Amino acid sequence: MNKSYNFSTHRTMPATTLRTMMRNWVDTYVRPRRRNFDEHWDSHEIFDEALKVLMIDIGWQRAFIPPEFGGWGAGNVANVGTFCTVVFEEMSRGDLGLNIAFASGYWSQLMIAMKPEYNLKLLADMAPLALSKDKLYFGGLFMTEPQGGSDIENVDLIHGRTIRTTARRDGDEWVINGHKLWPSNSGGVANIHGVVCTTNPGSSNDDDIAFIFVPDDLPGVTQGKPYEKAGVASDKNSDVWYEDVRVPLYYRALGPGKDALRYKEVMCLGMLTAIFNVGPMLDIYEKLCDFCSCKTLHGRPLKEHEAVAAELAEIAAGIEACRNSVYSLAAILDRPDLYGPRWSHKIMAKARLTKMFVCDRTYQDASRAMNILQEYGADREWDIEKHWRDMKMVQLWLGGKQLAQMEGARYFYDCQTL
Amino acid sequence: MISTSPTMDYFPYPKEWETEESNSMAQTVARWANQELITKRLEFREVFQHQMKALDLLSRELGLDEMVWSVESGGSGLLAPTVATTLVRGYEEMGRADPGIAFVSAMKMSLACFLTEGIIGPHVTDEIKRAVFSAFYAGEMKLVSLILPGLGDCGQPARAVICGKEAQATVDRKGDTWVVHAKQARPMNSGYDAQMYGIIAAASNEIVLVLVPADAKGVKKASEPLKTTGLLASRNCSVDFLDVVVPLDYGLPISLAAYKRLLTWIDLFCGAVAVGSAMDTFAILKNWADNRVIKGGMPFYDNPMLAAVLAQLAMAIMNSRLLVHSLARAMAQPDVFGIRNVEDCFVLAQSTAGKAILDCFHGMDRGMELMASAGYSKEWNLEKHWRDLKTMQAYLGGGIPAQMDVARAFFGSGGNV
Repeated sequence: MNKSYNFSTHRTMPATTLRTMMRNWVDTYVRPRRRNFDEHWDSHEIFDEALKVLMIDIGWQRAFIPPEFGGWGAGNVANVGTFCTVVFEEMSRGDLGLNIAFASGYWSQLMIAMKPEYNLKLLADMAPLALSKDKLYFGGLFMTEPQGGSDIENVDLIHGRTIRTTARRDGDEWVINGHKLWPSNSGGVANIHGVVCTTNPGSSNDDDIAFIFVPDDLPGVTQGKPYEKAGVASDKNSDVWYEDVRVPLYYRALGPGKDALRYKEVMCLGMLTAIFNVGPMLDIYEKLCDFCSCKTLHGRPLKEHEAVAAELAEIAAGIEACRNSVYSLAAILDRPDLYGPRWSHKIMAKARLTKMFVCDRTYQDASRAMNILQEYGADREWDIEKHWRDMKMVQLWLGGKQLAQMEGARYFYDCQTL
Repeated sequence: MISTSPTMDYFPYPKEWETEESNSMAQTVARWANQELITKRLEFREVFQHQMKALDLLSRELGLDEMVWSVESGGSGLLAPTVATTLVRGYEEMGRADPGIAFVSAMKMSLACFLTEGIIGPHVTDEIKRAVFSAFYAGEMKLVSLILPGLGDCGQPARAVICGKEAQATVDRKGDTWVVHAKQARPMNSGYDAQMYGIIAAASNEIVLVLVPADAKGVKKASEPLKTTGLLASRNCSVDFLDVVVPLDYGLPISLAAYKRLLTWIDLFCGAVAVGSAMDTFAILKNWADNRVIKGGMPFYDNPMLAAVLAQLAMAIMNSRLLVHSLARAMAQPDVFGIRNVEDCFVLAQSTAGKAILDCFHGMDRGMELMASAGYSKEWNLEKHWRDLKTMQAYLGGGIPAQMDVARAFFGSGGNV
């Protein structure tokens, strides 16, 4: 049985050429190799070949560079949310870690490449690297710090008060000092870091939150060894230290106040990463179709065993609910003119709760799928266990469940003290 | 109070069932766990050779392998099932250190308890016990791999159904020998490294436990071990048995009830491993959170939302520990629990151990969320417990087979479940 999840049933889930292109790339370059990804968490060479096809040959690394500099201007397509969701869903069907590396590269670029505020001067600096014909070009969003974990993502509550990475103005330059943990694409992958800083340590004024781009090769930038993790081997993470790193003033994304607003907007778009956990479920569905048709329990094909069939139905229900949920969120984020700004508390609460629900449900369903496979459930050769390990990571990141719960409760129940 | 590990003392269990042996064993295993594994985690992580060295020390030098064999057989004479409450404490400590090593040991110990407790029948003579002991439980450490009924394959000839699952091997008696046949049999554990396979095979009209030395002619292992989520001390692979001939004494016809008793021992030890694993998760999480603050100054433990999640893990450990110790007691003293027979005890084991494993896993899964990326990093070791327990859960059937066992027992569901 070779069956793909029917993905063209709803108007918000376009079966576009974009989707087909991503699916072809995944099926050619990712799925045949992914069972060896875990062993390459440190060297990363195995990923570069696949990424070069996607990023350079197909051209994705220029996606968010404006057309006037030779890019695609994807940050300003009318349906940026849905556009990203389709791409991410297909990519994570192949490998969630690659998708994180890929998406994180653009995440910081959105800080300067979306309407209505741009930083064209900085984009012009980035363009030649992004348009390279032979070298991969990655960015990254460098947020988390040792002392506060996800506090830094909690802008509405903390307002940057706990940020310890500092940006001090010195003439025509910013001088950056600080320590970041766990950024995606750290450990030497990202060519340019989008660093969340404060210009006034201890301040709760959003004007003091600064988002500053730091090229990877500047003096004073030091990166630790990559962390060894339970999964997502294709996303590299490490400690990063900045010691008197100097960048031009225009490397600050947008300026006082605007940085904080755009940062919240970008964080909100980041909640679409819920789809990172839906893509693997599409793959798990395909694997389950195979497994449950060829293995038997009590002399019957697994899928014909009612207790197993009940579990399979739960998984299908989860996929349906979660896909619809994320694509609905994407449609909302596509239209701030209709639903309100992406940085508003209302939209952020909606986005966080969507991510929380989808990540919880998909992770549970992946776990359920492993159980259906019984003694084969933990075998890498069925791919499901890999997805399960990877999906836990997405459930944890961006503040995880607890931050989402509080954000949701504050908005929906008008809580005053959380 | 005799202390094994600081974490163990947080979670009560029935002290009235303790014996001098159980305390002594728990202390010995706790020392082994701390010295050989827990303090060396960052150095060795999941290096197989180190894991086997540690298991060898426990099995051979500290005497675990010979524990339940009678003195006449050459063992220490702590006889099953009365030793169940003692062993539970040992497997908790092993699970705390490394669920993979504990799982490998548990499978071998399950077989030893099964063979020695006298439940199979008089045909398991002292001569047979001595032979098995000297071949696989004495001297140099040997790994024993169990091959139990499992999932079948469509398009293959129908196989005998045992407890709702399909026998992976057939066995025929020919003169003074048994002839074993299986294609792509999937062991529970250690298929790649075992020196002996303990196979539940289907004969024409009976179930036979057949013991097959791994070097017997016709035993073909896969060329490489499987890559799996966890339990990496248990390197597994599929194994073919191509008309493998073993002596008559190595095939022991057993009843269905007896087979359930083997599963009961497996449930008991895996339940204890899960409890130990969750206890170490508790210690890791506590170590991580003790001096941590959130929201720029609030102590981590003072946030009610986080406290609720932490409580879930502690509650899972407390409840699971009581369940597993109760199961051990029920196996040792069935009359105390009003347990009529082996089948009743099996249903209790499927219910309680399954619940313990599920709850311990869920508790550590939630705990991992609090540690965020650190929970996911190998440096903190929580993720290893998480992978190991999930793998163990899958190996034990993932829930549905146990549900069918319970349904058969409680609701008279027919043979079709």
